[in-house]
Amino acid sequence: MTTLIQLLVLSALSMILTGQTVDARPLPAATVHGTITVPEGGARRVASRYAGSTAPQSVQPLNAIVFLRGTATSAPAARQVTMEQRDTAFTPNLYILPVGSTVDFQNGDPFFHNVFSYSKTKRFDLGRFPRPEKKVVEFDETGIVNVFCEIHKSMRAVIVVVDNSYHTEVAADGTYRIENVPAGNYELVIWHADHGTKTQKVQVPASGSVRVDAKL
Amino acid sequence: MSRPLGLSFRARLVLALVGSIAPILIVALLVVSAQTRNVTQEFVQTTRQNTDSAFIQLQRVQRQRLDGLGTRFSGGSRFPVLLLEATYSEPDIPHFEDQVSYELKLTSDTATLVAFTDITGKPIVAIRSGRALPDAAAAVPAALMTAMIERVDTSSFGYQLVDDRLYDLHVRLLRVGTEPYGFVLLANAIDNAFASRIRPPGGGHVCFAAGNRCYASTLTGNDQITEAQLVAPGADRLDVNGNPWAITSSTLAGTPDFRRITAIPLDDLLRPFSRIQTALRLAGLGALLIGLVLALLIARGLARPIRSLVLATQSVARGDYSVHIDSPSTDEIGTLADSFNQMTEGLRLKEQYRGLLDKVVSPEIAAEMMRGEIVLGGETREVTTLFADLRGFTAMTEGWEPARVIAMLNQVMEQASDAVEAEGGVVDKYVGDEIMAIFGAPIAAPDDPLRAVRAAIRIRDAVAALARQRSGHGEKTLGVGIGINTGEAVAGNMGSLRRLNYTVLGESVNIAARLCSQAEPQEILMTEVTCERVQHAFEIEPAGERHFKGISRALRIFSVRSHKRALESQPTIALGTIAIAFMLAATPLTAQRSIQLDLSARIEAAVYLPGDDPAWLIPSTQTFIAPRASLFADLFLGDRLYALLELRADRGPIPADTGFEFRAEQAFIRFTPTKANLHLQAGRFVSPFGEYPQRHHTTADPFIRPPFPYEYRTALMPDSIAPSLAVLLGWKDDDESYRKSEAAPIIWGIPYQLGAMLFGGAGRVSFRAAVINSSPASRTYDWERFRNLTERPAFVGNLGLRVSPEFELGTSFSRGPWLSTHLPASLDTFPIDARSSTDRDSYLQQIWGVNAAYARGRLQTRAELFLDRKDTPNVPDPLGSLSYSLEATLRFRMGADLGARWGAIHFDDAGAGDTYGGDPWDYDVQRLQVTAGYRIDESKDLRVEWMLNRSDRPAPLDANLLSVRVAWVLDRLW
Repeated sequence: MTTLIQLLVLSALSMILTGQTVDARPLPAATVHGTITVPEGGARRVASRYAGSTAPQSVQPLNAIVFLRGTATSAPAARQVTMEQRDTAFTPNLYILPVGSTVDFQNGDPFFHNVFSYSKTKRFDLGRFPRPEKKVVEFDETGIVNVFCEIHKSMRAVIVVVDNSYHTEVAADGTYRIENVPAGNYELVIWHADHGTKTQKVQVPASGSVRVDAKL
Repeated sequence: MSRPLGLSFRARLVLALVGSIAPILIVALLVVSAQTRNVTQEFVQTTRQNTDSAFIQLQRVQRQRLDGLGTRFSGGSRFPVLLLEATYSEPDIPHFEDQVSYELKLTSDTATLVAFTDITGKPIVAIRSGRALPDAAAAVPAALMTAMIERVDTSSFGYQLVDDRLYDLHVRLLRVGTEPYGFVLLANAIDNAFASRIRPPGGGHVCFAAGNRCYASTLTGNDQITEAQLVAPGADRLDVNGNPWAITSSTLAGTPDFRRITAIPLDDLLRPFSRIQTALRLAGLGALLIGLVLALLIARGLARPIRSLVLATQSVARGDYSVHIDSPSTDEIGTLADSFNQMTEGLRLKEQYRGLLDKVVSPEIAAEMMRGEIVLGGETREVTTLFADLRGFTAMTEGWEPARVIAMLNQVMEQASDAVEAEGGVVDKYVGDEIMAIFGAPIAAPDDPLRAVRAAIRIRDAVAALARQRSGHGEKTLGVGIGINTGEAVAGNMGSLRRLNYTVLGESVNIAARLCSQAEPQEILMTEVTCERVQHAFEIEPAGERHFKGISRALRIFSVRSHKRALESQPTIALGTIAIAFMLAATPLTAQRSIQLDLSARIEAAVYLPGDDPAWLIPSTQTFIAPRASLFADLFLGDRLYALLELRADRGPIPADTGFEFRAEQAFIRFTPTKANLHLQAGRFVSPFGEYPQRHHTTADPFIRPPFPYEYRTALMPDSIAPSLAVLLGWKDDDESYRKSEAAPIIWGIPYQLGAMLFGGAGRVSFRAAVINSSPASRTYDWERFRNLTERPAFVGNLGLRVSPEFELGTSFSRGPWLSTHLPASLDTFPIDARSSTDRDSYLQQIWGVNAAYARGRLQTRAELFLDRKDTPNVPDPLGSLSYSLEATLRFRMGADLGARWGAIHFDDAGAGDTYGGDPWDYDVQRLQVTAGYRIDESKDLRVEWMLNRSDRPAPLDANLLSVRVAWVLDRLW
């Protein structure tokens, strides 16, 4: 009998609780999703034209990314991350970071790397440094920063600096999904290292979802 | 006479052609088929990995949703209580169903199947695709529930067949308080829609199967491949109606019964390879056929004239001098026939005139004339006459002792007559400081005008060399004016019976004499008639129209500049053509991941502002722009083959060149047989010698002009022979008339030579070993000569060591002939002393190089040092030099850099003994370069450089040059 009373009390409590969650309506938000078609083609290769260098090498692959521009919400908290240079590759070679974030470039190879970028968003040249030294770069402006190694042509990385949290990497099957986007007008930016940028206007409703498909 | 193998010439020719084509073809076919295998394997592997990761990602998303739902249903106490109520009272079930449906609507998490059971596993409520099922017990079999309930504590996810459908299941225990009262079962269907989301691109298929049955797939029924073929066990390759497919299968985690099968079509991938193979076979067959036909034709073309020559020789042996061979061809056989005809003609005339001569002149004179093969008697024939007149000789020899004047004149005249005789002409007479030579009489040859002009250039060069030698002694300049004309003239022996003189007379001869007197010092003038006959071989420019006494109309006059740069770039052009054809053939295939063609360009424009005259290799102080554009085509065939073609357009290799040149600068193919760092490269490519060539044209060279040893032209001339060490020592005192840009450097910057190279490395060590067609100091036209490669190549080696990440060391060596191939292979027509060889290619350049680099942070320093030794005709010991360059650059964070480079060359004493003791063969020089650069972005950079060249002797020299350069790299034009 005690169990039954306990049960009744608990069920009443749970009803109140669930009722409360139903009342606390979330902000008007919707999902932006769709499919991005990226032209076919394998990993791009590079080789040095002059003797004494190596065989054709594949440049580091990068997936397409999708992000929304034009929101008034405040930027998420800045992060501190590490991009290592290991086995002649940037690991990882893609970061989507809030404005003000810092990246530690750390050499993990037994030889030199020279990390640099001549992108408008952030120009830097870290010089040559050995293992295990690291150099810190702060990204204080939004935009796309292409990062290379002066010594190894096949190395490349991208740091996307954003001022909101509405971004994602496009999945292998070409689909993407950005959830909980507050209603409003945005620019959807689709970017791929080898196939360029595409921008599309998108109006996000108060609820439901918007589908934006694009071809790069 | 030995007859190797006893084979006929024809058979040997055929064998050689077939033997050279077949191995190339076989190797190419083998490489392509190995490449096909690798690429297929890689493609299947990648596709499989892609499908795997797509599946895992999708599975993760779906399971997250199930998990979310599970938490919703089991997290609070609402649903456990509702379940409890529904378990104990049947009428509450519809209410429970409504609550569950409502909850499902509220959330974005979804599940195909939701079922609640009591604690024994008896289903109470079942909702499939949002609709409640009337008979929950039937919808969820009890056996399944039992199986799932057993796993609730260990792995709450799993694959199951329910109602002949495949589901990904999730089960959660429902508790009220701490008491368990039942279970919620959540499931997502693995159906066709699911399969199509992980379908590989390019027409592949995915199927989920258990045993021999397929439960979900991307097949629509109209596909090439059938379900039965997909689920058949074991096969990893299928042939469906002639189209190849790859089949891969993996079991679903934790459930060995269920398999995910991926079918990948290989048709599109393999098609280009089979096309290449077909094309190769056809091309090979074509080449073999053409080779066979050519071999037969050549053999036939040789056999017939040889037979007629043999017959004719037999006639001559019998004493019949009237034989004449008709030979329409102009090749070696034709020349042989012509020579044979001349020989019989000569023999006939000799016979005919011997009797006559015996009557006209004394037997002694007759014998002498016979030896000279002189045709006696007047006749009208076409001759080319050359007159050469020394200029400045009188001024130069003013005040000299008569004996010295004569000795000097004889030296010049001897060299001039050597030049005439070397070209097959006859020196007719000397008149004071003038020489007259005849080509075409007494013996005519079709190329008489050509040989006359060649002789004229030799005379001019010889006088220039003499002038160089004399100018060092502070004497006035010596020059020669030359006139040449071709035309009808009366040839014969003139004079009295006592003293006969063979000569030519006529208007055409007079014109040549007048042209000679009108020519400027070091000028070679000729008439239109001669010009037409020789313009294919020489650089000629018009020199206006002139009137001559006794001729009514004005004659057009031409001046000879130099030998035409013969079309020696044929190998590069051929390589370039093959490379372009190859790339065009590959273009439609580049959609394939294994083939990649990149077109890129580098465009640069440099403005040179010489502050002094002469700034380096720039003969005036005038500001000028030197643009240069390079187009690069990089072709990748799989991971093993790489080919490069570089087409370049600029003013020429030296910035002050005034022309416009378009050429294939590099064309090579690189083969990397294994994954190891070992490569074989053949074609025309940048010299493996030294450190600087490996980084020119890249951002690793932060200067505009190359390091000094790569640019300084020494006093040595690769295409003239100094008759003695004394003359050679005079060359370094030459002023402007001495064309510095024609001289031999320590190393040409930058040499692109034909050859083959093996290179690679392991760990800290790297190496390059090459056989190339010319030594680092060879003239640019020798870089493209295929012949050098087969006859006297240069051997080049380089060894590199990375001592530590900061510090690298390297050493290079090269040994090969360096004299210009514009000189004849045998130098016996030149004044070569007894101790020197007359074999042009026996004169070697040996050069050792050491390089070091230290780089750390923003600082980069490099050094290169060379020890150069050149064997030189008429010079007892090799001529040596020590040269080096040191550079340091500092890079700044914002893409700017500053640099300085110092270079110097020290020349050895020539070892001339007492007379010239302590006399180096060239004067020491130094160069300072200071540069500042800015990288505008990834593709553009701007650079300013100031350079100072200094030397103390012969006169103090400080020549500076300011240059500004913009370089723009256009990446991925295509």
